[in-house]
Amino acid sequence: MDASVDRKDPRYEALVQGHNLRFPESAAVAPARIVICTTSAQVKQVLQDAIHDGVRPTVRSGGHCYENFTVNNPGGVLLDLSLLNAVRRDPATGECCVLPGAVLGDVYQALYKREGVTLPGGTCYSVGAGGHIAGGGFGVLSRLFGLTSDWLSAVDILTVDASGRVTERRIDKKNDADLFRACRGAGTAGFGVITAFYFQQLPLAPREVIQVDLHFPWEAMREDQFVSLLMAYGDYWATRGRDPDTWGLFAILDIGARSNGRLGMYIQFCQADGTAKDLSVLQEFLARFDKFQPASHLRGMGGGSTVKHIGQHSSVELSRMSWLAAATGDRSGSMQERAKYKSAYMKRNFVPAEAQTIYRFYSGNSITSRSSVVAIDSYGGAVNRRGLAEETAIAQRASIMKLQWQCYWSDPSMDAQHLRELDAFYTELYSGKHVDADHQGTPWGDAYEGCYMNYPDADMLRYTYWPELYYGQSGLYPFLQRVKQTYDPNNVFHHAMSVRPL
Amino acid sequence: MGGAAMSAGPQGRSVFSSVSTPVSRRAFVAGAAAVAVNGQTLSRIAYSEPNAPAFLHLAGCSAGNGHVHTYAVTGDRCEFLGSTNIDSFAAYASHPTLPVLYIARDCSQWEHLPRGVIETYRVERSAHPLRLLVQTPMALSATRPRSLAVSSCGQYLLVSASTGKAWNAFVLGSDGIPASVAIARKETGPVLDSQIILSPAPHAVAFSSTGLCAVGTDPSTKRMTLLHPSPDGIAILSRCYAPFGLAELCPAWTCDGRYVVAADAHTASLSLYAIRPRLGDRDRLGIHLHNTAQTKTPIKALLAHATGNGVFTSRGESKGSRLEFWRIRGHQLTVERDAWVPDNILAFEHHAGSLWLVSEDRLIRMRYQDLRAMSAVRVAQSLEGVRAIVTQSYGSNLI
Repeated sequence: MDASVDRKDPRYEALVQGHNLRFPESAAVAPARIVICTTSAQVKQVLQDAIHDGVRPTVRSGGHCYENFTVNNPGGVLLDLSLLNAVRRDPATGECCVLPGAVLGDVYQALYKREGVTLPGGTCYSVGAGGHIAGGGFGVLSRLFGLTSDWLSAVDILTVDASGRVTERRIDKKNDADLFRACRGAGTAGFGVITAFYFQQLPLAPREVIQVDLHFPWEAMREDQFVSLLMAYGDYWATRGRDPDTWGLFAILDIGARSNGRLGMYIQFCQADGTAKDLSVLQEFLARFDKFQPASHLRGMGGGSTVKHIGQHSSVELSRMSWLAAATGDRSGSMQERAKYKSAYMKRNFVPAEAQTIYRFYSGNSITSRSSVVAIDSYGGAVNRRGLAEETAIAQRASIMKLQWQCYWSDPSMDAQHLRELDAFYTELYSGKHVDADHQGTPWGDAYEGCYMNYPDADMLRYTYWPELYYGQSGLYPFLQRVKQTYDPNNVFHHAMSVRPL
Repeated sequence: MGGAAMSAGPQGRSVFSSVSTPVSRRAFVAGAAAVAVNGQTLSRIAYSEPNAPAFLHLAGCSAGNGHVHTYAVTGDRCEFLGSTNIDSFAAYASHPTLPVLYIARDCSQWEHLPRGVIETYRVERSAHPLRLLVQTPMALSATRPRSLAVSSCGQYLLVSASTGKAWNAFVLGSDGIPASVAIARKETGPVLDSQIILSPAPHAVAFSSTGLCAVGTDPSTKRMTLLHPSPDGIAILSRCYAPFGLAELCPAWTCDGRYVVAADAHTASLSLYAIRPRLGDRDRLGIHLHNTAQTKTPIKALLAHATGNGVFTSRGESKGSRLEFWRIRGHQLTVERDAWVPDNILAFEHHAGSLWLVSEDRLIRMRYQDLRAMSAVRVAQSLEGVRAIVTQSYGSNLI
């Protein structure tokens, strides 16, 4: 029997909140009930009951939604799928099945230990598979293997037909093909409740990886040096980083407040064969940053050995470790805080104006600069393989970097200031000659591919073209609207940024 | 045609009063003077006492701009107070006891989110008679509000969201301000025998005067639905299929709460729905179609009698309108009295013995008991685009 938790239940307060403590915004907008489902049959029954009662259902797996899409549901029912978390393989077909409540770290462990395979998914251990895979599923191995949703072979999903009847569907390229395509990247955009992901094939997990943690001397860095660093980073992904032999290289340039000394780069490398015997690609990359005199920091996870990279100006220590230790050793990311996120895709290197804007913000003394970072992830590689844009619902297949802004704080009275200052920074960054004149304030133009829906940002709703920011300009959004009309004609599944009905 | 006398009222505002008119083709409406009212679809007007002071609001849209003209009316005297711009006026309702007006704006998006919005206004006897108190968003995805209703106890405001396929209810405070969060009920469509799926589009809502039940109409799915709002949600007590369709008019409850009368869409007729305890569940009310009465032409306006068990209707006839009072006798609707006016009546409302009718070019006051004309009021402002009228009584203790 599923567990139904209402407002009077002592568990309610703990279960109603996800990881972003900004939501629900108040008790009045919180769901009336949270139902913990442990089987797909329970999910179906709870959903049918909600339709019958005329209340709105929302769905949560790991609880990492960046906006209020799951818990802002006044009077509604929240289907909690966190205990629908099995990871299994069909011995007859070899097909792997991941249920939505499984968290990524457990998925990596299960798939690797049993099958030696992995998903090229995200780095946060506690992120739930449901939202992550349905919305794309990007991570450290994505340059090498593509997005997680690129590997999907089938999905189990519950939809609600026009008469209000819940229908179970196993969808794939032959059955409800349009809905299947929508679930490969836009699965959280309001079509139904996904109860299982299937993968006929999955990439072999690397045997070992090299991890590097660099820290740059931010305190003493001048603006021109910072701009040079940023552009050296972007230039690599725009040029050498497009070559397939570099696709095993992944990096995150992490920029925070100068006063916090936060200017670093996390790097992971392996070769396409899953080993890390030949480090020439990595060393070539590290050499680009030698003149900035980074220091290195060993993470100290999961054993392994260290290797030194000695440059002209600096010496860096590299950690060699098993891929499993690298993927699951860090169990941070589970904390609950108040947070705000933004995103942008870049198709080319930074221009000086962008780098200067970032420098000024993080050299300044605003409280938001001290509470936030911008993480500049390497992108491209296998993600940008031809044909994937037409097969999936991820339109961004030409980018070389993906940016994620993250701001964290604990005091609710600071909400308005942090939201305002982060938005102002983002708007300033995307204002100027480098952005299309009619789309100032947003990453729109020849150099950009908009934003990532798995890092949703409700600020973008003020732009009438927000669907194109997230879904591109090649007809994906109208396609999703047609799928919506077919499979959710009553708009049962909706949130602030779901696909709007036709 | 008779004229109207004009005199300067307090503070120089124009005040009009009626005079008798000679017999003419409009002699039936004795005392009526031509009024420049270019209304379109007009709805209800209400007064509380025969000569008690009341506010009269004429609302509508012209060239995309919404507006409400507000007047203070005492008997035959009508004093223009002021105009308020209302963007995309869609529906209205007045609080039963407070000088508060609720207006729904015809929007599919509000503050960047797909939702309708309800505006609450305090009505004051001043040059700016409508003072915006609060804007309250409807539930997410509840778009294009079409109708508002306030319960007679003043506890709930009910809204229909047509494209949002939902009903929303707001708990009202003692000051008439709606709660900030809506209670929502999402509708899904039924499957008919022919396998045609009809998409819900909630349209009109009306509260019973005797309790917290309300009836909601859905012309798209041809359903009459008995609703019961509470802080825990909006319960559906019962549904009834309307075989002759549902006109886009607000249904009328009889004053005893036992019947609802609705105009049909596919035929010129009125349908009588009985409200009674359900078989096998005496604690729960049900709605059932009782019978249907043919009318010679389609009904254009519908209004419950304030105290008697019946409804007033207006329908087009011979380049004018036929007004009829239908009494419910022996579970049947029967015309008890009628009158013809040489106007296209778009809306009417009653006020303790008076019936006020609005046509495309006149505002007429008639006697309730026998549908005989009493007087008319001249309105000086241009009423182009006016399509709704609401009035509410006020006393010195309310202003």
